[in-house]
Amino acid sequence: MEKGDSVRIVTDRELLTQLRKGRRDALRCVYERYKGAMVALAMTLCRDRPMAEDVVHDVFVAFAGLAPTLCLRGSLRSYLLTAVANRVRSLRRRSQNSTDLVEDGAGMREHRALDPANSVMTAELLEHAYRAITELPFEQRETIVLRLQAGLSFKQIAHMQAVPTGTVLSRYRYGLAKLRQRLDREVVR
Amino acid sequence: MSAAERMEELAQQCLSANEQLVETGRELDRRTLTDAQRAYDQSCEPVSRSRQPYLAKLAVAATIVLAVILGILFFDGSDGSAYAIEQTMVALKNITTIHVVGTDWDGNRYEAWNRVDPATGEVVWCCIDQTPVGYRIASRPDGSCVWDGDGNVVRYSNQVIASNDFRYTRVFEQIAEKMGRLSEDDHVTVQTETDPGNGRSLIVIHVVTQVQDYRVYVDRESKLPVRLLFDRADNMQQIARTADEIHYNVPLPDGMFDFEVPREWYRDWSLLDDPTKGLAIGTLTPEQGAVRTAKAYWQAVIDDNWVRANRLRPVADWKSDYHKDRPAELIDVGTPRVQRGCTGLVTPCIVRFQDGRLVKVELVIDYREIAGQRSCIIVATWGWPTMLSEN
Repeated sequence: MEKGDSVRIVTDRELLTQLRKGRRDALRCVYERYKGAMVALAMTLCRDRPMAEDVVHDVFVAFAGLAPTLCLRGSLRSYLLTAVANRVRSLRRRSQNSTDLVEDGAGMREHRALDPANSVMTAELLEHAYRAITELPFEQRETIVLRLQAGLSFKQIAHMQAVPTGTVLSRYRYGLAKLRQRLDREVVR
Repeated sequence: MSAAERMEELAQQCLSANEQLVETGRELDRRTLTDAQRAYDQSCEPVSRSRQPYLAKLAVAATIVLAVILGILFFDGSDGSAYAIEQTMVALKNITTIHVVGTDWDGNRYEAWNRVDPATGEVVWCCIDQTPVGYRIASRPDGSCVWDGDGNVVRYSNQVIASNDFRYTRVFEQIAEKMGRLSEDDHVTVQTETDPGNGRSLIVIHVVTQVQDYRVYVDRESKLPVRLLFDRADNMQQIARTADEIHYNVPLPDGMFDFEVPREWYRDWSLLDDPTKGLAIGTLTPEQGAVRTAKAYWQAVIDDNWVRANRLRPVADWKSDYHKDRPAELIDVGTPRVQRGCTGLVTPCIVRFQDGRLVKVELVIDYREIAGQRSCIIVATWGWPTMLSEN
């Protein structure tokens, strides 16, 4: 074999540059890279697979329409996940019912079982934890996933939810406390 | 670490694991990409028309800048200098057949043929030939046939053999998943090479982790893997070590997946339908039965009780798999799940080996009712075992 030049893995910034140049294959790359994260976030927030898929579809189609002119300061991942969360909030607002969009779903049951790779925790514990997260009130659940999954700062979450940062911090703290209570109950049971 | 911090860490790990393992349906992919590309094209068109001269100049300038910085252009067919693993995943979605020639860990040659179901993208027709060492499988949606050279026995089943070792769409998917989860300690190099045999340009991804060392050779033009080479693997059941030649969309010979058996071979029609095999589960649900069967199987392997182990998992003689690598303790059996493309319940098991390694093996366990008796039987493993921690 003859050794050649080195090749780099494409970064998000390069994908966005290609999108601005009209390269359609970059659009597909972005989708393949982030579809799992978007579906997982939407599932956690709306607890309904078909609805989560509709949210991801709408968000990505909207992103595609903006892509040729899009300039991002933050990461593409945060942008797409924030868009997913915003879409869920928007659907929720439209809903007459103030409760969650769907109450009976438990996302993890429709997923593949958890893989405890790189973790000392068992799949069972992680599955309990996931179920407990999906059972949190919407605002607390949204705050936790935006912070821990989308990587947003509390200030960014406050801006998005249109509430003071202190309220976001309270929601986060109460959410984690509730998780702990629920998991303690599971372990005792 | 405080209780709140521990809970924060648990929630983060849980969300991260969920994200890595969530599956999107082919229908969602098709619908989203079609609509997104339409929206993208509509958005590009007016801009192109109104600002064409400006954009043309900009494009030339950008090309010069990129060419200077990178030496070669990005995404430009065979000369692309940047590569995304997603390009390979996209390219793999357009294949219909795969033919692979390679070797196992003992240097024995094998040949594998796959046909992909166009509706689902799953490999449902699979044929593996290792006749010199007594192993041949033909599997198709309505059943499978396994030749076990030890006893010269051919066993038939109305189940798909779910083992993934030679199902190459799944193999590459797993490699992509693993590459997406590399840690800072892992080392990945990506280089180009020229294949001296045919002069084609290849992208060589060399991944070295604590437990694995492998190279994937990707055709620079088609973005499809054309060679695979493992120096170290992270499990004890991965049969294939190399895939020296990989050909896509090749016409497969007629009757490739038919079960033609030489006359002198003994035929056994009762592989997975034999009421004396498997584990009776009484009034348990199939899920509870799968967990109990998995526990019984691992206990039999740990106790060196191969008669019992083979009764629970009769598809082949698995003793040789654990001859050197001896399981010492069953740590956990997770919740069985339904898996697309798989007939039975996929049951995750975490096992500690005698040398201290912690490994996750997923067993495919079928539920049966024969003459009013309810039972479960282990059909295969699902995917490759995963190393959770070293000794």
